Amino acid sequence: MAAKRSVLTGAFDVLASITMAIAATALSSLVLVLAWQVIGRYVLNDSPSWTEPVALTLMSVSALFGAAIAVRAESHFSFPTLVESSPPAVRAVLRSLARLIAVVFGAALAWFGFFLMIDSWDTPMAGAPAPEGLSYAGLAFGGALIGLFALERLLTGPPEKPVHEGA
Amino acid sequence: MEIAILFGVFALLLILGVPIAFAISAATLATVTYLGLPAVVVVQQVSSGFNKISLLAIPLFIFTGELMMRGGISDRLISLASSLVGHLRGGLGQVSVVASTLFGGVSGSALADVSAIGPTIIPQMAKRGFSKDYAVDVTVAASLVALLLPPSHNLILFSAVAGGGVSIADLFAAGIVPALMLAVGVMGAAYWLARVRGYPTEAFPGFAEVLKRLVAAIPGLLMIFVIFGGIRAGIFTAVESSAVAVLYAIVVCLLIYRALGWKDFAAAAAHAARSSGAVLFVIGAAGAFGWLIAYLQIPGAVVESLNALTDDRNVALLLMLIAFLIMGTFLDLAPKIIIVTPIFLPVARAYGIEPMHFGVIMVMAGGLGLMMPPIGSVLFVGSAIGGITITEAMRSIWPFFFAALAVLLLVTFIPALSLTLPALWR
Repeated sequence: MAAKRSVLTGAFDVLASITMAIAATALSSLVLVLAWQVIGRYVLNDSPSWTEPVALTLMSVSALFGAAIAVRAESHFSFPTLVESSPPAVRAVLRSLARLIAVVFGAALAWFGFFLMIDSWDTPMAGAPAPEGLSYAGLAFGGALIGLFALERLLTGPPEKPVHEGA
Repeated sequence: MEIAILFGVFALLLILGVPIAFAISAATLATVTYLGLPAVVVVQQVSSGFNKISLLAIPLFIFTGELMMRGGISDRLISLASSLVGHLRGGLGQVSVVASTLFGGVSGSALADVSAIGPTIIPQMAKRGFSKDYAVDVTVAASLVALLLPPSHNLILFSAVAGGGVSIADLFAAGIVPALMLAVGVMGAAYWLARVRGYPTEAFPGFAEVLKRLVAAIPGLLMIFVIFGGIRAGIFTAVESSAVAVLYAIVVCLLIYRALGWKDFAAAAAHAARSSGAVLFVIGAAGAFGWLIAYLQIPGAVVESLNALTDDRNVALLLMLIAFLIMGTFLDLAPKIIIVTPIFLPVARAYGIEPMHFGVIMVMAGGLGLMMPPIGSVLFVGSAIGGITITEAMRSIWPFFFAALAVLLLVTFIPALSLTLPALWR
């Protein structure tokens, strides 16, 4: 059982590293796209129209992939008072409920996200030479990752190190 | 009935510890199903929730804060602050406030602030005879100043959720005086507590040393002028300024301070992606929630109920302030802004309250929640850095809490404190 769990955790570790790398690359690319917008306006004297839709697509990829990593770290904003003050058995049930809701919502985001992506693939993106469907890629793949990482938590329990997100 | 389902399911799941983004989504989905609308609408609204240009600034300013935290800027700011105010009563406590204010001006994030200043200042304070609870609390309270200083991503968030008409540049200007008042308030509380407990002061290092440390800190401090000056001069938009801020941070930390390696850069990008993902995911989820709130005409109902209670603007402000403070005890700042703004901003407008003033009050009130359990993420991080429990940290939090509350009341009932600078600079 322990060996099975460690294989599972190892596989999710690899998936998490890839997810994190994509989220960080999308975020760094966002900087370059917006910087190019300023350079285009002042240096090239030609404001590129593709920067805004591409920047929004990159943000949605970075945000949803980042949100999936936060699901794995169980660092999403929550109100943990009742859970933390409950007896261990109740705590385990409440945590499983939260993870189950995350699995369902992640799956819904992935399902409807893929539906919207395919449905709008033939429509051109306003201002950029790309399919409109691409703007739903973050939602579809990010949703799938949210569901998968929540499923991992459901099967293997909480992460080793607590993480705080916030203002 | 629809309203009962929406808020009932949300409140129930929130109490049961379900993360806010998922609690909002489940409540929205349940209500949409009850109304007989297709479930895909929820996903479309989540997508629209993300699809706002002004939101681009949030991950990038978080990224900037991460880079500056790892790139040597905080050490130089602490060194400068130490030479400026270390000789005052409370010594390093005062240094913590000034360093946090300076760093807040470049990061705009309370969590980045406490994470950057805390690991240096808290152990030093403990070593020089300050109790750990004092060291943690002064650092935590001081970090709240960052919430109101440009480039505060919480003010950007408010501007985005307010749905246009509230300029980010004006909001940045509106936060400056309240931020400085908060810094003075926290310094006052630090001074009083230091006197009561007999804490030491630092020796004044001399003006030559102050000048030397100022020169070392200038490249980092210039960030404030690059961001704020660039937006005010119309050179770039607030969103573009966030990308410029990242590039500027890379140049300063890599080429001038030589303290940022590839590993630090990758860690900063990864942390920023995860932190901003957590914030933006709530924003996306709340996009559907906000759409339902408008669909069910809830703001109109709140205005009517409040009108039945009072037609006095100040009483309405006080009631909203109390609501914000109560919500601050169970909602983190970003989710609070996202959930509360669509409901209360139309109410504020109905009472003639300037949206900018309203935004500053909401962010400040939410900030108080960050230093109090059970939600206080900034207090949690500060306590973890100081190696003390939340209960221990609570021992000396009250002077700082009441100082911040006093400033909040002044800012709430004297609108000129937040509205004068934007009017002057417009």
